[in-house]
Amino acid sequence: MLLSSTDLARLAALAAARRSSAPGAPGGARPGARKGAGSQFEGHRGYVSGDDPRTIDWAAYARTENLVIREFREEVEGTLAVLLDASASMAPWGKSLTAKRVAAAAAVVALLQGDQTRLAAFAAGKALEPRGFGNPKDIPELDRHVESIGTAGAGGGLAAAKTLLHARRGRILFVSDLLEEESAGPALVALRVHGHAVTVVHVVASEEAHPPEGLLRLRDAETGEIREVLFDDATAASYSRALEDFAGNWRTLCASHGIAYIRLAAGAPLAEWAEAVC
Amino acid sequence: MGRGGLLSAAYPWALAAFAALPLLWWWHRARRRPRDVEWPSLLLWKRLPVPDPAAVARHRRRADAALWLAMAGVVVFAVGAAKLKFRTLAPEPIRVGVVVDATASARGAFREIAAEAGSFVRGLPGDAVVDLALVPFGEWRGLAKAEALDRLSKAGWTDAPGDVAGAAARFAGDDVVAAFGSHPGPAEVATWRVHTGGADTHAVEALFVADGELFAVVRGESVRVTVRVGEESESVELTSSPGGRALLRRPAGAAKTASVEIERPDGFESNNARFWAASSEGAPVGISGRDFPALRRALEGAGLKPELGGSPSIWIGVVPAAAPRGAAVIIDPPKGVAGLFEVEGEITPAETRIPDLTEPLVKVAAAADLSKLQVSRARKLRFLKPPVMLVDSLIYLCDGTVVVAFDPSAPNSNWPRLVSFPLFWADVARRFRPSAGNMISTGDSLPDRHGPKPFFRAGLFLHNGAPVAVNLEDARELAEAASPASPASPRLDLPTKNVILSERTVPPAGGALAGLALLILSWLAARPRRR
Repeated sequence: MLLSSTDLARLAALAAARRSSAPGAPGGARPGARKGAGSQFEGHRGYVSGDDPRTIDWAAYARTENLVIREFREEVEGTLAVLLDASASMAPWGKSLTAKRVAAAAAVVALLQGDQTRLAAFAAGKALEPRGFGNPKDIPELDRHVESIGTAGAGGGLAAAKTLLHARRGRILFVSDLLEEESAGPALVALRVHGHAVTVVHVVASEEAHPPEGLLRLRDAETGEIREVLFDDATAASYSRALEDFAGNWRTLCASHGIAYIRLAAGAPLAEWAEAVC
Repeated sequence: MGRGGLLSAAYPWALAAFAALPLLWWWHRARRRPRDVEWPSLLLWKRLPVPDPAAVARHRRRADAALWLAMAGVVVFAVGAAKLKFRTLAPEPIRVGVVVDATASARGAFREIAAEAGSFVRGLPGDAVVDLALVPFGEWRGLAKAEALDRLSKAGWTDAPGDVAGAAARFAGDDVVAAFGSHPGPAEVATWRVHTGGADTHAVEALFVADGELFAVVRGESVRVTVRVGEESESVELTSSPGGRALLRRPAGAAKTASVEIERPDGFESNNARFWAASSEGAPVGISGRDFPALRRALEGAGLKPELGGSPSIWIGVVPAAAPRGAAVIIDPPKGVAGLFEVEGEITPAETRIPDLTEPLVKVAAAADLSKLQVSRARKLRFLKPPVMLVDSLIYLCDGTVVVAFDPSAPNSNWPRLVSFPLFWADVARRFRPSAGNMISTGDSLPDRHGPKPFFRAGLFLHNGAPVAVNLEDARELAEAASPASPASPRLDLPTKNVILSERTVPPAGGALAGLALLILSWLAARPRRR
């Protein structure tokens, strides 16, 4: 069992809260993460060149003689697509387990909210056969399914993301350690451009930041490639910098394209991340 | 004299643990080999520069804390388990007995005697302990050099009689005893020390005649000796405390010869001690030595007569007027073969009264110009067959005294060691006058694998008219003797003794435990760590 009864209870409460926070919304329609065209009024902001003149609040202009525009929260479709990284790089240090728990938890919340959920793992450079769930009764089956997903081969995040390019707009949860030669970033940006609400959950193990000291012969878990490394003070500093740069680049990419980025430590308890992820 | 240290181990086999040090180094290198680690992805590592091979090699070579701890652990363990004992040693001062005759017999020569004694004391090592006897005034033991010199400078002679020999005998336990007086003969040299090796517990260590009395210092708890003084012979039982010495004292009167011989329980003749005493009258010559035909004929031919007879014999005679006075002549041993060794150098026939020499080897002696047969000749003495145990006998002639030393090889080894050699050195010392600068060891500090050093290899030569003794076994001394520019300088070869100043032992259990603790620490330090 990936999710205990306690976890499920917490997720159920979270789903209930989400439903009550969106009053009047049609069934399956919930506020998205992005501002823009929608029916839910979000607030005013000053007009800048290029804004749609239709969004100008002329009544406010009459009162204040300032051009302001009205902002609405975008409504998204009631679907959740979970892309779960099942490559070999996820195997060490419990990253895979954490990723599967995240995927399962998000799917459970979506089901409890009445959303359609599609869960697709990717590994060995390709997306595996997705599995759809549409009913809260499917939660046990969902749990078993996610738990049974193994890890193997190189990543396939890019390929997996591309499969959703023509899907109905909805929420996309991308759970991965992002350690792929071919970054899934452009595909995720494309999904965002297509109107999907994309969330990237970056699963990181603390061990990755603290390799053992000395002379190491590192073997890539996905490709089997070997590289000899002398992990001394200088290398430690360079490696730490590279690690931070890597995460920083993803954070910047996501922020610049309206993609939510969540960095999650492997093994972190559900309570820490459930609200942000689900 | 500096201090020294001594290191010993109760369990030296434990030091074999040091052999683990190379193994530790091997362990260190093995531990520093690249460790295989499976990593999720090399994506980030590829962005880092490739490690410098030289840096990798340095990393593998560099000793780390774990290695140092392990090595220290092994060392401490080995030292502890071996139970090392550190001793700080310091040379023990030698004890020198100085006997100065200030009795009536020293009349007229006392200042010279005292000056010689003073010169001798001044030449002693700075920390020497002096036992001074000013006969008949008194004895002072344990004096520093300065005190002894002070007393000597203030001393004068007296008409009162005294017992010089007795005083010297009382100092027999000292490392060196030197007596200064006007008596001729070996008594003037006072004592000579004979070391017979560990196995021989009975020995006559000193013999001398002084003031008309024969003195012998005999080592052994219970020793029976035969004392011959002149024509008289007497058997005497001597006893002393364990490890001690007995003093034999007999009137010598006007006897020209005297001997003390230890009687062996098995009835065999013992050569442990013989003594020859020369008369002060005329120009006597004494020869002590084993009685073998060649020598007998040679000596008889020289006009000497055996006085005591028997074997060994003491021969008394008069030195032929034409006999050369010089250093040494080497003759072949009686059992040797002519040509086994050669004497190089100029050998000129000398006028001699030794007639009818039939033994070719003795002819060599007779024909030799003793004044020219110096140590350089001895140095060039070549044994054509070195393994053959042919020991050169030695005849030397000086101041009217002829001493013959014989083959010291078994079964005659005791004879020259105990008798001829002391006489030889006594004579040498008498010629040199005992002083720190030219006193010669009696061989007691010359070690040998099987006992005392064979002293028959000692040589005597003249250098610039002065007699110089040299140890023929010592290549350095020989080299010095051969070089006119650097004449051999006889040394005061005093025995070296050490005392233990302090002693420290590494606690074995503590050392071993500390070593094990360090090894455990090393193991902990060697475990892989993460940053």
